[in-house]
Amino acid sequence: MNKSMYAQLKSNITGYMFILPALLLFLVFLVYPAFEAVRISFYQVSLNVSRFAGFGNFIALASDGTFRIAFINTFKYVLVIVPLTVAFSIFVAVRISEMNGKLTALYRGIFYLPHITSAVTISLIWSWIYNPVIGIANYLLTWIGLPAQAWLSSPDTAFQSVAFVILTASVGQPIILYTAALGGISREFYEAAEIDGAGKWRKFASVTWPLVKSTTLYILVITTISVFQIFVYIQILTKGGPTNSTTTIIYELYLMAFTNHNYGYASAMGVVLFLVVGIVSYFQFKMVTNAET
Amino acid sequence: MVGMTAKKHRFRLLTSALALALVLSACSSGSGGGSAASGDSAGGGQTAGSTNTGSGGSSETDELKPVTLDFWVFPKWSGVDGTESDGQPGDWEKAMAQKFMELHPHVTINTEIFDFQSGPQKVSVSLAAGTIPDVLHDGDLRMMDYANKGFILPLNDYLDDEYISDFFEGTFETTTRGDGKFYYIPFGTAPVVMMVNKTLFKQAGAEHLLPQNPERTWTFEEYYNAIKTASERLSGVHGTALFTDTSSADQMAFIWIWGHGARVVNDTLDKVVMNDPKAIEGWKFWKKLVDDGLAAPGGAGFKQADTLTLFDQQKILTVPAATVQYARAKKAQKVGNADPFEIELVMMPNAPGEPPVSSGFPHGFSVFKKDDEYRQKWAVEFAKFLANKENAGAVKAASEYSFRKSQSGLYDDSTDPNMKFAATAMKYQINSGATTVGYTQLRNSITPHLQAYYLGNITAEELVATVEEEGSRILEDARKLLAEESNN
Repeated sequence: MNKSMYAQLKSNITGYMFILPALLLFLVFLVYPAFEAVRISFYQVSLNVSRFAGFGNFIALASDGTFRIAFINTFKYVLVIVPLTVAFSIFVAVRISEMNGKLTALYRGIFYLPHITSAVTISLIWSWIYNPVIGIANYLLTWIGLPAQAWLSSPDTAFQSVAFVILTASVGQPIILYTAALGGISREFYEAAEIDGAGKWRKFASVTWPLVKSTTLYILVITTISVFQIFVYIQILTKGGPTNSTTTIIYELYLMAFTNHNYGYASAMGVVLFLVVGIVSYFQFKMVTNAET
Repeated sequence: MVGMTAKKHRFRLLTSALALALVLSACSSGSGGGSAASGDSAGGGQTAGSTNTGSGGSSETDELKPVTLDFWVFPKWSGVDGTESDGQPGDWEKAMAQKFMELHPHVTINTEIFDFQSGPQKVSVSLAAGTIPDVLHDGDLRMMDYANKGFILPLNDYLDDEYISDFFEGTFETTTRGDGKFYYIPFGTAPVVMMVNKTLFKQAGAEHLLPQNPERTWTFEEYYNAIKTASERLSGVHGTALFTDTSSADQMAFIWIWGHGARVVNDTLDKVVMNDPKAIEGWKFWKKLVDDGLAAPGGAGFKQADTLTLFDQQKILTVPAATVQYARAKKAQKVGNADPFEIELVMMPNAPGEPPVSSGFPHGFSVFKKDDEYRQKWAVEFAKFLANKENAGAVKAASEYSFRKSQSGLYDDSTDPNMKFAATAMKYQINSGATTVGYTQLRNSITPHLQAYYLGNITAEELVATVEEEGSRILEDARKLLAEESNN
């Protein structure tokens, strides 16, 4: 260590001391278990048995029909929820940013509420709304003369019904981020566009959308990661059914680890999920970086 | 095979389990579901003098070495006798621990109360980490799961004939996994019967179609006619509700085929035997209820709790339920959470020539293996004390029944004829097979197939063939793993 580095370290020592407790906790409770989970994914592990299995767990995963469905479903959730979250959030943000201050605050509060509400609470309320016999959704449908739906009880509708619930809980934060971003766009851009004869849609496409691009990419990244990890909604609303139509990798991981005590296999699922999220996030971060430069 | 010390293995297992738990807790994003509330009932060991307890028959002196026991509890009721308005889950267990400590001043018992939501996960992680209780009060399924992992002490050598003779014949056979070893002391059970909304049947003028015989039995045909007649005369009311999520309360799903003489697992608890004409007949009747509109729509997405909600809301006429759930329904009416209506308990229907069938939700006390024999001995004494003759009647607090003959008249003084009736259902209880090695995985695996059958995607024949083939493979794999773990 040369002199200047030592001097720099000495001058920053107070700062390092402040982050040390958090860093230690992070290393012990997150980083080490994560590495250990990767190691265990190569073992057949239950409560009393630990035997090296090589790529056995991963090979078994490749031929596991339920895991394949869970893998596809996880991607379906991402492909459905993430674009809808972005589209809905920016639509709402643009609309409420045109309102007066009090109304903007009110709508921001309304849309943010599900984000700060417990996922368990949201799921329980929706399971009541979706109840085919006593739920308010079917009550309203029949009241306006439409046929009642099976919502969570049919593979044809369960996925969409669950995805909708997740969507309602996902849009809160993006709306807040978009309204903040929209507030930072100078009025002069819109005035200049108006002088050039731009209508509402043209102003959105040529001014708003390009100027909130970095916010959009950030929202894409955080929403994608969170949707890959959907668990509570599945556990409470459908338990992955009917006929595995709503199950996800993380839900199958939970079943394997905490119901079947097959920690090695569950860890292999976790590793696969980690790789998938890592790859997707890498490309999304690349997009963010390119957009910012 | 990589050599690894048990300690190292446990530590690594803990960290991995922790990692998986962290992933899940992160996914729940503040979803609550607080873990166990813990309490220390101790302070014990202070009572002067020692006495003969009568629980284990051991005579003590003041020279006995102090011992501390960890008692983990999944409580079945709140309060000590269930009547206290401010009773908390686990009060009875804490009171019993205190009593035992007073009888045996050298024993200190730390009682920890678990909730049913997060508790099982916490116990799993604790066991993986080597944090093992001495005595556990839990349901049979989880205790047998721990037994299958080699954690539970077989109690045959500790239970003498005098202790066992007070239990109904065959009781202890349900505590084995087919190997003749008793893995827990049975304490209470809630027999599965059928709850009937008698008020709705009266409104429909169909009360006479309900079972009129003293044992309240009926055939499937009689049952079908009763709910068809009553539901046709009522608006917005279905005959029953079926559920397909067999990952819990699976007895209430399988009881529809048991009444036809079919079983899920064979008597030796090593093979799935659902591919049987009787099971096909049973499932076809079950599906007929769906196809004829007698079952409430949505069963493919229902859990058992959903069916009980529909019953409480008077949307269905009948539902299979345990007596504990009957007590909850009555309580909901009493406190105004449900409209008051008359409930009658009857037996589940049975096919002609087949006996009526009931099942139960047994729970009891298991003792975990410990290297310290002295500590283990006192853990056994404590488990025996908890389930002794004097304490066995406590299950009444949960509207449950004891396995002890001396408690057969537990509800004789009850003003509720339903609870007296349900006592008679005890004799029709069958071994549901829940103690089979690999049963947890088995029942989870059945759910998607049952859902597919409910939705009409497969036939009854395909259902039973698939369940038997896949289920038998699951049981075989579980037994192989058990053998490996036993040799470990």
